[in-house]
Amino acid sequence: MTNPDHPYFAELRERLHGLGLPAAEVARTVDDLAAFTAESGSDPVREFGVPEEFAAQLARSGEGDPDPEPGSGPRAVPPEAAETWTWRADAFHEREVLNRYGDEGWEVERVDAVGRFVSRRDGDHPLRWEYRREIAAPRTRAAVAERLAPDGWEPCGTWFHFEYFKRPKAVMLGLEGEVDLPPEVPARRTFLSGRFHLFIASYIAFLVLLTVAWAFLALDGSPLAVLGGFLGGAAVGAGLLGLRMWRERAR
Amino acid sequence: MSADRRASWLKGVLDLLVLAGLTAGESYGYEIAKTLARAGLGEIKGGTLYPVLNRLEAAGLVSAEFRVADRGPGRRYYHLTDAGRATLAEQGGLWLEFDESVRKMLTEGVER
Repeated sequence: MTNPDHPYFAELRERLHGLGLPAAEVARTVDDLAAFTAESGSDPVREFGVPEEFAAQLARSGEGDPDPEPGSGPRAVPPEAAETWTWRADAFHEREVLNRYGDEGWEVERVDAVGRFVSRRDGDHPLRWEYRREIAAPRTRAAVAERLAPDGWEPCGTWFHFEYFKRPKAVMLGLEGEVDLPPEVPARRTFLSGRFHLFIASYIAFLVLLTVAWAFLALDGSPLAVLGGFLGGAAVGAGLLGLRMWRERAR
Repeated sequence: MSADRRASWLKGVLDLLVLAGLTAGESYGYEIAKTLARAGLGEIKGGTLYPVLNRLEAAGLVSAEFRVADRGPGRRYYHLTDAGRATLAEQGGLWLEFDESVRKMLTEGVER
């Protein structure tokens, strides 16, 4: 288990303060990240990189960018004062969560380097939003966006091969596509489905069974080879996550 | 800096530009945004355009009609109303006067 008092998060908190981020935002971000590592059981250094570099990355990604969507030009009109909310959900039900809160006026601006949906909501009569998810390789993203654009869909984030799109409900509903009385900002920031928990439990059970089977049935007497396989797989996974975070920083 | 300044200029006149774009005939959101982009006004996203269209519709300056398409989900078409045409003439004229004053002063300042 990892908690916000873990030395990693203490250093991250200190560095984010040093970079001038608001105290409330620092606390929220660190709590979210600690909750994530607690749930996933992962090591924060392996998950996010060293605190110094990760803090700089987080500070850059939160620099009040008027148009943070990757690959797009500057926003034509500046946004009004808006509420912000950053949250995560697993891929088994994130579209349901996106649409539920999109209906309350939350517009996703991007998916950040750790897979969270960074959302905003305008103060007065915000638009209601709907979302869809497409599967696209980097070379086909532009074609998918071009196909959906005439129906009002705009790209709002990428997570590996998932490409997320948003559109205001006003495209179809006009004036009814606005929220009259926006509810409070949700207190919850993590939405994990029952299927996700079942998946994790099944996966752990599979690994345990595999290990037990190896311990009893391995005939070649080469436990180091099996251990090497496990470690190699973990290294590949960590490498892919690191590559994604590096590419996100490079944008 | 220049992008922010340009965005602020556009904010003050986007409703008039949308009305002007509809003088050629009815249109829907994506096409209106493309018309504005072709005119050199940059990419107008849905989160910016639709509040403007909603305000214009609520004020009776445009009317809207949803029509089912043969293919796809259908579209909401916007038409310029008589009130919208009158507002465009009046407010557009005021903007052009303002533009003329700005242009004159800036031209003198730049050439001085």
